[in-house]
Amino acid sequence: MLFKIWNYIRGYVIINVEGYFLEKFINICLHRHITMWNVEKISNRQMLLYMYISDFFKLRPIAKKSKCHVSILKRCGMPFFIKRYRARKVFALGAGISILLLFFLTSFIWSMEISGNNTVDSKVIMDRLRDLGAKPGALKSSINTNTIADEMILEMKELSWISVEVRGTKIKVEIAERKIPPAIVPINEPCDIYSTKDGIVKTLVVKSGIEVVKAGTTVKSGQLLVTGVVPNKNEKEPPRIVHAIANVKARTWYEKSEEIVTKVTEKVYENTSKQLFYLAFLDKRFQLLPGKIKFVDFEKSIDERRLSLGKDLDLPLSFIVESYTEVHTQEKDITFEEAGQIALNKVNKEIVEEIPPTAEIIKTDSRFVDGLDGKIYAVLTVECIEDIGEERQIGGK
Amino acid sequence: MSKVRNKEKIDDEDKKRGTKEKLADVLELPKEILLNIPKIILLGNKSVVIQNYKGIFLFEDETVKINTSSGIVAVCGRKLKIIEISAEDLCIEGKIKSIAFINQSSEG
Repeated sequence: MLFKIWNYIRGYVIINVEGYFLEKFINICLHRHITMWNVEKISNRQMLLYMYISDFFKLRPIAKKSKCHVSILKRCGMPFFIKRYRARKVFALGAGISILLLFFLTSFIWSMEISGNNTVDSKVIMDRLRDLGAKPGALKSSINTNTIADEMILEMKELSWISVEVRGTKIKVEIAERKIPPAIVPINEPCDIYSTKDGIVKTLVVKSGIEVVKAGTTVKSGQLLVTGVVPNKNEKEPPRIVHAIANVKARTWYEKSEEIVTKVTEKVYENTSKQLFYLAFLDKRFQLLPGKIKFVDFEKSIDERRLSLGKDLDLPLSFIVESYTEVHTQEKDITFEEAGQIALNKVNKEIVEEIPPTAEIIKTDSRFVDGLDGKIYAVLTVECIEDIGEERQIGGK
Repeated sequence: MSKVRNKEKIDDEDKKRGTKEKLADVLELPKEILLNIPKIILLGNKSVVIQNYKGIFLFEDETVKINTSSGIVAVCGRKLKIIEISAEDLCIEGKIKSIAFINQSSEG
């Protein structure tokens, strides 16, 4: 392989040698240190061989001496290629310009990639980055990833760690979110325990403080459960104030309802669809083929293909295909059971989001209820056991 | 008389060669360089590389005869082709049937 590349760079010729003393021809060539390869005898007095261009010019006296006739069959390699294109100055200029343009374009940032965020919106992070100068179109050399990372960490309280990296023409931002800890009253500060939810107290384990409610009491949200004010045995003395510690578990209920609808609208896809093509440079878009969407109702999907060199070298050009498929809505009757199931599923999804993950679900109950307005509702009730205690400082500083 | 002298000369050369060979053995030097004899490397029946040769004697499709210091080496086969030839070595490819030394200059 390497040998072939070397041959290509040096340039070689395939020549045809005719004569009766071919061996003599070869021997003289060898004597003059001419390297040949792929020597092939075609007939009694004819052979083909390959040799370097530089050696070819030494052949004339050899051919004369060995009474052979030499002719070139093919010229291969770079020197010939260059010679052929030497006259085309504009072509060379174009090639040079395209290389320069490539260097020029790859010295900018063209795209941003943010990963690791779950709750913080990518757009918020992107806006912050934009304020700090890291945005598509910015010069790569003007970006100092270390200072940007430091600024970001200082500005955004939600982040606990950030890494900003420039890869090719892309800014890669990796973040880790901070879990904001719940407000805990320090152990040496006095506090009471209040309820966070409505429910019936199931168990009450008090380690420190005096309980105000008993197991079985119905409590409301924000009600005092355990107090840190402990009266002294000697009633004349002022009461001791302690940091109340208690584990309060209560039964809580979550209830949601949803109307049962037996008529649903359904999307029906038509066979008619249309595609629009765009070429985009940064935020500017140019439509390639003229065309308009005349559908009344349609579904749109966008497929954007970015021009990039390899994985990280994105260029600011992208090709966008927008596909439109015509749809129209259709009303459809479904059975009461089906409709009920759909409503219940929806309600269930909503309730699950509301219940804290630490709560233990002990009972779920679903039923259909006739509403006052004549509609039928699906009602889902979930009973849980969960910790409802919340510490609140006494006499708040 | 001249014959005898000739014989002596050959003996002398033989002796010289003998000492050189011994030297090569003792010093573990490559013999083909010290003794100026060809080195022939055979790769199956596909290719043969000959180093330290003098020149080509005959080049045909089915036989290639190479002039070396140990006489003429005849490579016989089919579709023989010289893959590379330079002043140092020679590589022949094809379906090789036999390699023979003919017309040796010094017997033994």
